[in-house]
Amino acid sequence: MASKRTWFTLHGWLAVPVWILFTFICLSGAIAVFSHELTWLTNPDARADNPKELPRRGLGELADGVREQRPELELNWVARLEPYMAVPMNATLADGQSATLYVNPYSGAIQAVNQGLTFKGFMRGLHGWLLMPWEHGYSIGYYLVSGFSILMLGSLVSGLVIYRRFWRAFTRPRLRIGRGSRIFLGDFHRLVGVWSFWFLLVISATGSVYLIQGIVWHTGNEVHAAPDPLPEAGIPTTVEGQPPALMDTATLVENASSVTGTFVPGWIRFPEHALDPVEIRGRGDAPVFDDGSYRVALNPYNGNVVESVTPADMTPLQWAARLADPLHYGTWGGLATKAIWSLFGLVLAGLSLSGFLIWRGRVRAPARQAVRNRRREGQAC
Amino acid sequence: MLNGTGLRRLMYTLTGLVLLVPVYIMVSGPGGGGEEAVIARISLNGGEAVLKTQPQATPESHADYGRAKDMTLTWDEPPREPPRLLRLRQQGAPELTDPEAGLLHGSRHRLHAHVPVTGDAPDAPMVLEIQWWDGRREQRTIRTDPLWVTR
Repeated sequence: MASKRTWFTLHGWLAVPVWILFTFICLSGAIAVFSHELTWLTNPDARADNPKELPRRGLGELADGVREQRPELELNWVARLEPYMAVPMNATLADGQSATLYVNPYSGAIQAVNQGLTFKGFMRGLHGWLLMPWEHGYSIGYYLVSGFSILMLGSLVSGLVIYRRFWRAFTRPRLRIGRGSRIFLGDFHRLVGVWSFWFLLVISATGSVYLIQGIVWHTGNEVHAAPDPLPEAGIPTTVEGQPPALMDTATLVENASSVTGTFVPGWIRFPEHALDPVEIRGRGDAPVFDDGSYRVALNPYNGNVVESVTPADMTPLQWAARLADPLHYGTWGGLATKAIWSLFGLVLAGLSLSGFLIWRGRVRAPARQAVRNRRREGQAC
Repeated sequence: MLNGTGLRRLMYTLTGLVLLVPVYIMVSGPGGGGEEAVIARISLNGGEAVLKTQPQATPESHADYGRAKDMTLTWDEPPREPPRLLRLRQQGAPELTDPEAGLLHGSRHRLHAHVPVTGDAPDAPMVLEIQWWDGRREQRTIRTDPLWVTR
């Protein structure tokens, strides 16, 4: 059985060398949780204003409307965000450039055409892989960040082992102010460490899922296989040599919804080649799962459903991957859970900073004492 | 055994390294194949396209294709009638039954493909298989610049 001192050393080694990066990741995560809301605050085009109190349109209807308004655009995907956010649609412009359109979900008007990185994309990239480049299916930044899940779990376990009777922090919390920084920092570190242990567990568990997912991608595999291509024999030909008309998206969404009952579409991906089905993802009656938990692939030429996947059909890793985002970013319960998650993200940053300050105090004190002793010895000579 | 000062120096060094590694990678990139270069120009039914790849990147191992290389086809001028399907394969690479092997996909302007290649003959020409919406099929041999640089 390892001694308390060993656990204490392990606790320090797991956290101290990485404390700045860990603090940065916690702070960026606390902001990333509110990336939609910060976009809403700073960009009026991203808001779903409804002064005429019109009924909300479905994703398919909105996509069809945009195609009518701007036939030169090629829609790649459409997503549903929070009710107060405009619907983002990724499109290829006539000049071949990629852009995000913000579409009002009530009027169907295109409010803005945004080229470049969105605030959410920036924050998720910064928090998720430190904006390091992706090549050949992996990013070193993604491994660095998701690898923190292991360190975090180790810090949590070692912290609880060295904190004698840690459960008393729930019944008799102690934070002594005015008795010196060493006592305050120690109390603070132990108190917030124990009170945020559930959050540390959630973040390290979801972080481990991201790590496994990254390894799967790196090995050239997918967590969720893309839908199979349509058989070539089933693709229509045309006499005039032009591509045939595709089914309207609203009908495709309706067909997808009829397959899974309580299906709420959250994301539509349009075909990238003639054999590619339309893919519609969304959520159903399984709580907490994200918008990718129900997947329906449809033939865009006749509207037939060719594949459908629900959480009941998923492997444990697919299941975990679909739970990871809502649990990691606290999006599963709306603004209230986002606020709690963001707050605890800041708390973790404080935990990391206080841990470093405690460690610095501990190693500095003996060093200073040694210097004082040497000086005293020098004076005596 | 490390004393307090030694331990502190070691921890600060480790902290510095942990911070320097991401900064270094961000600045230098992950060391992949670098920029894409034009390896061929293709005329097709009134359209003009360029085919690009990263010559510095050697072919990757692929579980199904043996060896494969990422390529991009960009239409400078779109063809009068768009093709239904375009597939690329290097001459000498295995002919695969996988319908997505070498299949060009993406937007109307810019298409990508994971193309089966030989792995040992960077100068071998490419085979472009074209299917049209009226059912016609044709195959063209395309001379290209070397697909990768042998070191």
